[in-house]
Amino acid sequence: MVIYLDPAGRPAREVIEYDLRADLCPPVRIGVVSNGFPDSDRFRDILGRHLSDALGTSDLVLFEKADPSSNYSDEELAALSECAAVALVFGHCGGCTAGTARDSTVLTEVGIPNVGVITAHFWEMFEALVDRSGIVDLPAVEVPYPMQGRSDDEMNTIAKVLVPRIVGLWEGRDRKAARWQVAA
Amino acid sequence: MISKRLSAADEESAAEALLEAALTDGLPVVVPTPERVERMVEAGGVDPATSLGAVPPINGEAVVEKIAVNAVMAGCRPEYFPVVLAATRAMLRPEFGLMTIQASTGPYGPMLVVNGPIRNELGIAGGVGCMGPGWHANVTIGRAIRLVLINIGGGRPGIGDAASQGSPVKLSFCFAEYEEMSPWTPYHTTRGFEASDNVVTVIAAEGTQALLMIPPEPGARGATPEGLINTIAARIVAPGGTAHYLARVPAATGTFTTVALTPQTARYVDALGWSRKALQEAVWERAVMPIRDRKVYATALADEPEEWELDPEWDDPDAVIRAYDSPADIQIVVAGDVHCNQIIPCGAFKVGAPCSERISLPR
Repeated sequence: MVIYLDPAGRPAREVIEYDLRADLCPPVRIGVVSNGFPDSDRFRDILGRHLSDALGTSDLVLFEKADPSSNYSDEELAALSECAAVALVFGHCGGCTAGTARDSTVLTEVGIPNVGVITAHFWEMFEALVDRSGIVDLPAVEVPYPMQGRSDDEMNTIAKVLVPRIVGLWEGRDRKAARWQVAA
Repeated sequence: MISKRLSAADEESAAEALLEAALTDGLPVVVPTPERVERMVEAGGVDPATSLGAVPPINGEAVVEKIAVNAVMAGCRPEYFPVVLAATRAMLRPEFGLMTIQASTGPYGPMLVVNGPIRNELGIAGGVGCMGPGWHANVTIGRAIRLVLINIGGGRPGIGDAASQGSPVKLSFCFAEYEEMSPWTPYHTTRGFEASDNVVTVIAAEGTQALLMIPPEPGARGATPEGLINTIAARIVAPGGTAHYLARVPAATGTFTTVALTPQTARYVDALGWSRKALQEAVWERAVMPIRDRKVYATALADEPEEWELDPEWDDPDAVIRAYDSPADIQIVVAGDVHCNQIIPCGAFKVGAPCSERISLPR
């Protein structure tokens, strides 16, 4: 018999459950963040318009991170905290999927309801990272892969499908992340 | 000890269980028995319960004992452990951007450059073949870092590591600077340390590219550094490379690269009156991409044509994009066979800025 030690690390933070709920009654400010991945800014604008229309608010703030790898600055976090809810666009590669998971975790820890938008190819990676990083049911919606290079019409079609799912997650009516179910 | 104790019928079964549980890099490991881990921890001289921080992307806690477990598995001798600890500290610094290096679709990994007297004390090679196989300290220290990234940080292929094709860099990449054969002060002195300090510097790398050059002897006909500098500059901005891909607006790529010169090449450059700093500046000055070339190669991003139309600078066919923001983004180290001429650009990336840490030895 040989005794040996487990090499696996434990999460640096305690496991917490996502239980944020946004009050989306007008007047309300919502935010959509793009992360610098090609075409994320275009989808941010399109998704923002559809969310804004659905919620009957013109107080839409569009944020742009120049780089998916960067952390939010204090100024960015302060501006995001002025929003009732935030959507993060999008997880389209390894780095930006991990970055979306991290950013979503940061927003959750400071109490900002949020939803990550993750492409199908990186969905399992996102789920695996979330499972291991200590937040249960971190909200996210899946979109088809790829998003980069899609026409505005295609992006509009996808955004329309996403809106009720994102709002449901923001308001806490839905608890589980939503997989993509409609062929785009 | 804080780590969970596991058991197996014998060492072979234990090693197999670790492999099956995806707790290895795919190679056989040394079984981390409590006795072996204890010896490793003692050699580090740090309280085993100390946390060095959270390792992304899953943010596992880098507790010294856990790092020691992984160093044992990698085959490290206990005396190597202070280097492993210092390298872990370095790559956990925020400016290194470890999350992206771990999770990226690109083939990036940490490259360790060791400076100071400890190189010779531990046998960390900086000479012939130092980036390849056969050097126990190099290979096992680099491997220990990889196992930390896998087992504590969750960087398993397809889970926390999305590298499309991976890279041998992701197995082990550690070497020493060949200080004795370098014409210049050691690399770590350019980073604020004394030559007598033991230091490990961690830099993101995507692999090596051999750049074969046979410069003539100084004073010989045609002996100028122009060709050498031009060749290095052209290689580090080659189409399809990270700097080329990320150069979307002038002077804003935010990338880093490392160029390893063999001692003979470095002495050739030095004999012509070029310091390391002068070489960095010259390469930086020439590491430019004509905008017209960006329209030729297939690295353009989907939204780039629109940017070209919007930005008047893009309409100037003679305009160039500088690939690196400053000469300091081009790191130059001296390593390899004394008698051969080769230059190894070690890739570039948007994150992975060089981070240096002093190697603390137990009292």
